[in-house]
Amino acid sequence: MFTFGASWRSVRVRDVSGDHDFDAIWREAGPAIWRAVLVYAGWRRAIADDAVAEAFARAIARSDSIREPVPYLYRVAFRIAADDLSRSDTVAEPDDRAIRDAVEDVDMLRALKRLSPAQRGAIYLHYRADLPVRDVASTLGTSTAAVKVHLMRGRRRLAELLSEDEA
Amino acid sequence: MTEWKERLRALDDLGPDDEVYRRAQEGPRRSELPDGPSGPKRLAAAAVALAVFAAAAVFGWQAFRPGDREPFGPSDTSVTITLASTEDGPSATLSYDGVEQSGVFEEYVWCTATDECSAGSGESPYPPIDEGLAIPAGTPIRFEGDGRVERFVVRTPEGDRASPNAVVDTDGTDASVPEEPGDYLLWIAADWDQGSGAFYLRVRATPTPSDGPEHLQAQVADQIEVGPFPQAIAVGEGGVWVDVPANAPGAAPEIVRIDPESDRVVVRIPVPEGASDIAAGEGSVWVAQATRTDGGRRLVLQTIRIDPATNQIVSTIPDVGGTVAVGDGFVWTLAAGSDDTTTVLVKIDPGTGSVVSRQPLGATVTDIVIGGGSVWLPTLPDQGSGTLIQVDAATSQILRSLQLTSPYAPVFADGELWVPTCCDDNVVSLVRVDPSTGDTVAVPVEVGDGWPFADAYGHILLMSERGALSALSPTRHTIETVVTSDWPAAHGTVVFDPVTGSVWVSNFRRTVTRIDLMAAPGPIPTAAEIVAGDWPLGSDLAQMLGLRREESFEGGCSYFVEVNDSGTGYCLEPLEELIPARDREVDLIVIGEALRGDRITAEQLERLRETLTPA
Repeated sequence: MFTFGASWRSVRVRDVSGDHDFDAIWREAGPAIWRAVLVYAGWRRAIADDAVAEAFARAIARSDSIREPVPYLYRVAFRIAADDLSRSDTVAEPDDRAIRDAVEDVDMLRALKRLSPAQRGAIYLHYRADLPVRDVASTLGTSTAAVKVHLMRGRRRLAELLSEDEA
Repeated sequence: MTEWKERLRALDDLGPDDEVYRRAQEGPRRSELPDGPSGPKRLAAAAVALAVFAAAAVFGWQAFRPGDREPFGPSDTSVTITLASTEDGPSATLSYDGVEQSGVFEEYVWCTATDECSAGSGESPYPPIDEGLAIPAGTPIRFEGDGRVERFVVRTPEGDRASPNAVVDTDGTDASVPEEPGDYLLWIAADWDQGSGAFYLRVRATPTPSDGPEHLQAQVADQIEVGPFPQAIAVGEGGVWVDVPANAPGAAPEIVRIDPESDRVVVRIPVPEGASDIAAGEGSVWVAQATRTDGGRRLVLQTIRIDPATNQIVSTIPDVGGTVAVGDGFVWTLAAGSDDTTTVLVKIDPGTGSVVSRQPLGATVTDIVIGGGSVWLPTLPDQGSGTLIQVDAATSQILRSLQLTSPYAPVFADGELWVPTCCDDNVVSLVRVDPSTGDTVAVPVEVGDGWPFADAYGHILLMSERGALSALSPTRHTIETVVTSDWPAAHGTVVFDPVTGSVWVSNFRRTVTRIDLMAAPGPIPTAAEIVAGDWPLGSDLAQMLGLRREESFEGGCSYFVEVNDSGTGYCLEPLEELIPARDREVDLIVIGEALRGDRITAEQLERLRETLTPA
């Protein structure tokens, strides 16, 4: 499966020496990674904060051995978030009032929240982060076929939810 | 979709606190990468490599409703030829599975009520028919209408009488489409009260799909560590070839070669530009690449060729890549169209590496599948709609574009195309397409969350993300889960090797999983039964020969033929030799040509009979 689409490789930040400038990476890619994880985690800000902080911490610790830091950060952050989400019985419902206050399109927030994590993650990574399906699959630790299913289901569900909100 | 993207953009107002990065600078707080399950799941994952999960769930087919045409094939079990009298003369009309074809007059004598008679010969009121209706070989023919069959003769297009059933009873009983696949003319002479007429109808007898074994069985044979996140996978040219991206610390992207004999990684071939797809065939391994440069603005495509004898990259074909397939004697890959979003199908001579043809497709293509003399190209679905483009493999010309709901890579099996479409109420459906017409045949088949990837033993194989390998029987209308696993990683790229009967899965962790697939042991024909011809043409040869391993035989057995229900017999090795179990020399040719999934032919059956018949 291959599509002529954008790739995260286009946003990698790397200096000529081979060492990575993580300050720059944080500025350039950190917010996007954090937002993607936040969406995936269903607006659970604590999970997003922990996952992204831990991913950056590991990347900094292994800087010499990481060739592509941005995809690495996406993958590790999503896996940490997935691990935390899998213990759903210990995860409290998010207090997302601050997020709702910060975003104008509350309907979109609500609609995304009602999708499954995989659907949310796939939708955001593909349609907002512009990652091709293959890279979304790698980030979510799943297959391209599964991502297509998540995208299809997510789009359909979003359309239903958004139309309900408008009605 | 643009509206959604715009609305997603609203989330850009959100951002992390700087505290997040400050925490990161303090170092990792967790001890290991959470790349696996914890607790009971981890135990289950560790056990899975040793476990064999036998066939479990067999359930009846629920996808079609009364009144629908069956999803797996024509609802008609016989051909109807209606012999009718009209004011102008006699007529013969063949109908099968909702399609009608008028007979062509050969000659007739027709009289009116006033005994005014007219005669004709060789003139047809019907348009010429270039190609007959495709009808499964052996399908019974029944006659209706007010005419009486005088003679029924089957001829080849050259005019020879075909047998069997060249001539049948004058009342038309026992007529059928010939059992040997091919093109035929059905000649009918009939009488009416008003006169008589002779017609011919053209038909194409198609091979009857073998039922194959009733059940398949599978065994997780091995899990081979190859490196993180293995992706594309291909089999052929003596190896299993796996794309392992540059995810390992300090490592370059690699093509990893697994020896299917030993299940060991035998070589790792660095491919600095990575791989987006792999195909093996025509003496080489072909690695399609697609990388972006200039900050993502420029797409660079190329396809490299690896010599499997030396494991060296021997050449690079510029400006083509992304996806690659081998079939019909050529290598097929893609090039970017003028606007960087549409694709061009590129046909490459595997001997020289030169471009034979380029066919613009006018859409973004996601996969290449070769089958039935055509190249099948699903396009990127957009809002539930999509296209499957059919290109003539010989001429590279677009034959047709099929409009389907979100089609993905199809499977070509038994002369039919099975196209997965996604998704209705979270369920993937298979749409069966007649490759000769592009028509959708019957209602779609719902297959849950499995995606088809190959056909084997008369079944279509499906793999779900959750690790369930299923087999769909088009003739029995069942879908059967043949192996499931609890290993936690997603199961994405998967390929079937008909030579070894193995399914190879890139499971998106660090391993490739090998699943050995075989026909579940059924009744093994005795030599006497084979000689008696109780096993019809078209039977699965491996099944017929009793596909099973008999470890008690020295050196092991791949196929086994029991003689006279005695518990002893012949140990048959695929492709190579037939080992006489006792003191008897046997003919090697019959088995030497047999691969798993092969259908037995008349010639093979005859040789097998000769082999097993005592001198």
